[in-house]
Amino acid sequence: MIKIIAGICFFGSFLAFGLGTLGLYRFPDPYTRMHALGMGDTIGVGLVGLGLFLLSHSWILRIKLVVIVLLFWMINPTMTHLVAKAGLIHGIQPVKDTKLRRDE
Amino acid sequence: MILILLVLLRAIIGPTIIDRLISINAITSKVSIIILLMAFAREEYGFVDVAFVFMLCAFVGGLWILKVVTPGDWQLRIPGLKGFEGDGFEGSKLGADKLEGGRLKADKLEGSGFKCDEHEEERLEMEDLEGDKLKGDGEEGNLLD
Repeated sequence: MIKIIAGICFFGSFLAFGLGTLGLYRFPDPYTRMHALGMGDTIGVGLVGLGLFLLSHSWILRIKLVVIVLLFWMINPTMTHLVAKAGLIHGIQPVKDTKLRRDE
Repeated sequence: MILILLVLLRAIIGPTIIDRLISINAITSKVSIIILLMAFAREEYGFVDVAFVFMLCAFVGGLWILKVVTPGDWQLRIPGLKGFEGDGFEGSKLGADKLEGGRLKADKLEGSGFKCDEHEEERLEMEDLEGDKLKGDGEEGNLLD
């Protein structure tokens, strides 16, 4: 039973990673691509952590997995924010009809 | 997974630099997840620590690449947009004369894509204006060439 639930979690994480990659190809603009990839990675890592948490048999492994997932949930939005800010500083324009776009 | 190859393709064909950065970030996260899964599949649980350290190193590496690639200070200014006009340097300890120079530099940076010539001109102008004070910033921009 636990293995079935873990398998569902792994499949969901694969789906989330796949949707993030699909968004990376289909969106028109670097910022929207970044958004899609950030969301997909966050939910994918969370689901993989949940599945491995259910599968693991000792508490030290579970504590390590929780630390990894929480740290990833802090690191990935920070990285996305910094990359987006660097893009705005470089002057990479967002897609049309956006508030941050500068038409000169 | 196959998805790593797809993300790597985006990193190769990506039109701007932040596409490449975010693709590399995604690749590292996927690799650390694969290390975790391999550790559980082969029942060698020491690799959980390997995934942990790999993720931290990827974060620090990404920060370093961002710092090298981005010229100037980190204050975001967009003239004409409310809230992003950037009056003053909160939190940075630059002097008054350096403040003027930094603002001038950042105003010139806006709209310039990633061209080496403009950076070169701007660096020369900055050195004319400010003397030796901003030489450190100029050398940081020099890494782009």
